[in-house]
Amino acid sequence: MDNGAIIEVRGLHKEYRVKGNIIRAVNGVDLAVQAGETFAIVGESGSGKTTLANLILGIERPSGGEILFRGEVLGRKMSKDTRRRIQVVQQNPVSALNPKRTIKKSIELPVSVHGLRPPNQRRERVAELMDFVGLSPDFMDRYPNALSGGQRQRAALARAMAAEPDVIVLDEPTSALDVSVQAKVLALLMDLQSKFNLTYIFITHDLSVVRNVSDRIAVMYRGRFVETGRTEVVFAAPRHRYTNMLLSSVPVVSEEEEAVKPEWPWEQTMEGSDQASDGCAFAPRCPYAQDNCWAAQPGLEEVGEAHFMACYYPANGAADSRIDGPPPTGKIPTPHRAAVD
Amino acid sequence: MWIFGSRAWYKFSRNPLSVVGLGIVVVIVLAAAFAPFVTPYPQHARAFVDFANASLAPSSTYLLGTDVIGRDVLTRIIFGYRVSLMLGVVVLTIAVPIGVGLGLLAGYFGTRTETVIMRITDVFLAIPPLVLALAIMGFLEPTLMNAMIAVAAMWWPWYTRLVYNITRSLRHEGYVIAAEVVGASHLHMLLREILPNALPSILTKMTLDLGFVILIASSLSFLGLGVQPPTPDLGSMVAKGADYLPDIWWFPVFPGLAILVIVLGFNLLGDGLRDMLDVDF
Repeated sequence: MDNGAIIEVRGLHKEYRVKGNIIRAVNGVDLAVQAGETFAIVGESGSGKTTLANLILGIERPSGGEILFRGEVLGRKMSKDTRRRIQVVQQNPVSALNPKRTIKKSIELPVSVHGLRPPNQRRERVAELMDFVGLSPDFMDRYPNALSGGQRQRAALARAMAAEPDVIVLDEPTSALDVSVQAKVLALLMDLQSKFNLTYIFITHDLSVVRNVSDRIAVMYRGRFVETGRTEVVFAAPRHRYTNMLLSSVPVVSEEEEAVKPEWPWEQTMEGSDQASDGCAFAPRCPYAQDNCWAAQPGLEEVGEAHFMACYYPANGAADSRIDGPPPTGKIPTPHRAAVD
Repeated sequence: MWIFGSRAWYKFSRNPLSVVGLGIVVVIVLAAAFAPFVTPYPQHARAFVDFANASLAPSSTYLLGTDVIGRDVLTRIIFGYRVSLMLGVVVLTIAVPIGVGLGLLAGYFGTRTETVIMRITDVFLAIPPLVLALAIMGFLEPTLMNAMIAVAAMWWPWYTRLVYNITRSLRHEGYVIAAEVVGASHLHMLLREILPNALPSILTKMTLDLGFVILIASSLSFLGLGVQPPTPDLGSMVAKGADYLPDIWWFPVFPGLAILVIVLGFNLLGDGLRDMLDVDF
């Protein structure tokens, strides 16, 4: 991967012990985010994307692997300056702001913690930040309960911007908002990115959002990346069967869009998603799964320019060269579950 | 007044009993604060003997009668409230900061800090409060100061547990995580982000507890381990007067009712605050 990466993650693992069971929330993730790009991490609930975000933010400690910021390994305790350079906007606008603090105090926090402005210029700075995110400075001395969900997300974004960061981790920043507000917040994010040369790590389950804003996309399933690539490539010709399933489940409004959507021949079910398998974690839900899918986890393999995927029987192309035998027929096969029974 | 039109007052007064509680507490606090001016015989609050007027039944001169050495019961009840309230306030002033501080630390840092603090708290919570206070009073001199220390020593664990639970749930709120990502100090996290959001629950519990602390302190006095004569105290008045039942019934019964009224007042007020501040208990 490119050495100019601003955030690099190598062999990252995070395990939780829950009542004697080991949950592998993040199970060997590698990624490199280039400065100025929007890197989207897509997956369904429980895929480990938020855990991955928390690891990058330093809120949680990895069980294994390392995270690098500008080529420097982030240790047990992040330096104050590095802390400032990686900020977050979270999903829930209701809890994003402390209900007992004024908007000004919330937005001002990074400025005062890092001494980015002398005290007498902070009010002015907060007004400026509020202007950047399209919030009226009239709200400065109000409490969060005076703001709508969209306004709160803007304030949360202003707080992140106040730290003058290089990277902002956006953890489902729009999924709790109305669709009309979503579009405005997304437009604002794109505008700020180009103005301040920000790098975004955009975490979402919403593919339609990703399609419009991200440069690259990583599809995450059960703690692993199953497919990564440039957004337009992955959307045009998804290879991994799970990516296929996700794309086929995006609701569309027009017939043309429906026509270009990948087909998914089997019912989309969560059934079996928690089954243990030595092989591909998606095998229990995959109609194309064969014996070898249950036997060993396929590794990420380059299938195109900067396009990686981990599937033995991918869509939109020949079967993986690693496998001898007939390619899948494309008909709906019987679910292959012998290996777990 | 503006307060009666506010949303907070609406929520508080939705239950009329809350208003009754507020009324009781305000009247008692004012009476206690201005006791030397509102009581008919302020000199009766100190060492005073008047055998000529001893054991008189309630009348227009002595509204609630006199005790066996001729002191006005009403006067001594009002001065007794003074001692009770002061005791309650002092106990909570000692117990609440300790309990809240430990609860914040346990809930915020977790791991070993949490284990140590919460296990100690559990040990204290496992001992019945009055028994612990009795034990402490057993090897300390039975003075007012020691009574307050004894009651405070058994009261802080409740605040530790309350604040610990609140802190644990606030720990994962977006604004707490955001402040952590910003790099704010632990002190900022605890005092500026978490504590203000725990305050409504703490205040509500303090109001409810004032009544209970007064009750426990009265129990100690009743057993002769709290406030010592001649300082007027509701608990010791009940204890002394009980010897003269049923003939001089007004001597123990009115102080007993006085305890009931103040505990009830604080409970009703606490319930009202709970409704007003949207606190879950």
